[in-house]
Amino acid sequence: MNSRPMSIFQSWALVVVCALLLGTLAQVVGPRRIPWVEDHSRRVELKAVAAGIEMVDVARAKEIVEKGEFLVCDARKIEDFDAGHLPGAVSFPFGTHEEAYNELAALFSPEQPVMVYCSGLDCDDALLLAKFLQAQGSTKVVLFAEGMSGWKEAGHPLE
Amino acid sequence: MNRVPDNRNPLWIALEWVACLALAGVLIAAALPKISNPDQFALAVYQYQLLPTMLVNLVAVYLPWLEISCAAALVALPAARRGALLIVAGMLVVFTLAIAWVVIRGQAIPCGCFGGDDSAEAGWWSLARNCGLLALTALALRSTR
Repeated sequence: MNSRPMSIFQSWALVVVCALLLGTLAQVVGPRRIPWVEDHSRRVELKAVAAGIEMVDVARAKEIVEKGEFLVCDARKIEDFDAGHLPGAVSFPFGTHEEAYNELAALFSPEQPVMVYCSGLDCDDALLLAKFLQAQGSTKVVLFAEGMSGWKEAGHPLE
Repeated sequence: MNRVPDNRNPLWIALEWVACLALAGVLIAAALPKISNPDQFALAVYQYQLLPTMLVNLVAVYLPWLEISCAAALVALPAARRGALLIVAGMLVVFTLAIAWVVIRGQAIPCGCFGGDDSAEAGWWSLARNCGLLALTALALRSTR
């Protein structure tokens, strides 16, 4: 025995209305709410500002690379680093950053300025690495948010 | 509610139940992490770069509840099963196309299929799994006739 099935449209209406009600309820009274509209492309920038990390653009990054005073850290995976990186950069993959820091400790000191980058605006790793380095005592850490894609777009040379 | 006799072969009846319960299980497993970590899921949706900014978070908010509603209909409301199965099939087709597009583009982004967890990439395995689920949905639809 089976109850007579609803029409397709009735069942769609029921399911969709339930989903809309529940979703709206979750957003209005739920513990985990997100903004209705959010610009995710700015997410890295906003987090950097919140962490007090200075952001630099492509032009400033080029100056930094040319002057050579900063320690430039590439937060991407080693394969990406080997395929091409900013001149003078050191590979500092975010996943293995704790071991890498122990190995490279001699390069860092609280006064040594550091610039961190990864693949581009969508990549969080450089920001996370910058926060890690701040926590280890570096006082001047800047983030080159546009990273490899910004550098390449500007046509600057790679190593 | 009028009752009509179910004259189908009991095998098809059993198959319909098994398929619907299995699909409901998958839907719930897929929806819960998205509901408990909507920010992570919204990011995963964004990374597909297929939706305009305005829609990313809306999809992140409502999609898991659509999955839950379909699961509830599949389990608790046999009268609404065909409709729910069609919605599930539609979702699977859209997800499969999105993942295929990511694979073609060569992007390495998380699937977001079971929440925004980083460890599962949008690639061949998610495609294969989706096709399997689509087949199961088709089977369930066939058995509801």
